[in-house]
Amino acid sequence: MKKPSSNSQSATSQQGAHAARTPDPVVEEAISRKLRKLYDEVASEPVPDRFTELLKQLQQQDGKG
Amino acid sequence: MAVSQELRDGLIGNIPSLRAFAYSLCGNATRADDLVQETMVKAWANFASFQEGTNLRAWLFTILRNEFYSQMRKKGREVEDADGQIAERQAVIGNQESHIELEELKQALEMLPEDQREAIVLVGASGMAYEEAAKICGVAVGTMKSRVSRARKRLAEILQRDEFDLAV
Repeated sequence: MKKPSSNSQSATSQQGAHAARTPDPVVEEAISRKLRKLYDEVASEPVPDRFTELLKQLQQQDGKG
Repeated sequence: MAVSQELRDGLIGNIPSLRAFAYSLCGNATRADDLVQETMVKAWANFASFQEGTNLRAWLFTILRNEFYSQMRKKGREVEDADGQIAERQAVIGNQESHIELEELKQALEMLPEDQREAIVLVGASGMAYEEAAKICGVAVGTMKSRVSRARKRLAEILQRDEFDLAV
């Protein structure tokens, strides 16, 4: 992903570029909320059967070994 | 060596967060669960090397993370498989509005460099402390803090730029 323009400029005036790109606090807050939602939606799902089955298999293998 | 009841329970108890970590990292439900399965098998085989009483979640997350990157190196970045897309659609039925929002975020996450993506997933999404996230990624706490901060900035840039597109 090369950006053809403004590379040399951002290197020389980092402070200015930084200030210009300061994110909106409302946007920041929305991003934090969505990140947690993305994670929590999956984390709150019940454990799928395939994993309880897998654990049973792993235990049975141990029992035999 | 038999795996203790405590470790077994610990493993079961961590499955929800392992699934959420995997999904936030790779953005594909089927692939995420395959990663969790691999993680469980590896964990089970290596429980002898786990020091009981230390942080099991961090240990498991480290296994999952290593598995994720070793698969990426092997296969390169793949186009999402059809199964994954179907599973995702099923997961969001009745929740369409929030799905669009999260879809934007997922796309933005995919545009981040991988070190920033895992940092923001661990700290920003799972709510993990910088110290624990740093341990999982094998970096200094200061490095983790700066990765999270860069990831937040970058996500804001991407989403501010794209916001009008999908927010109907």
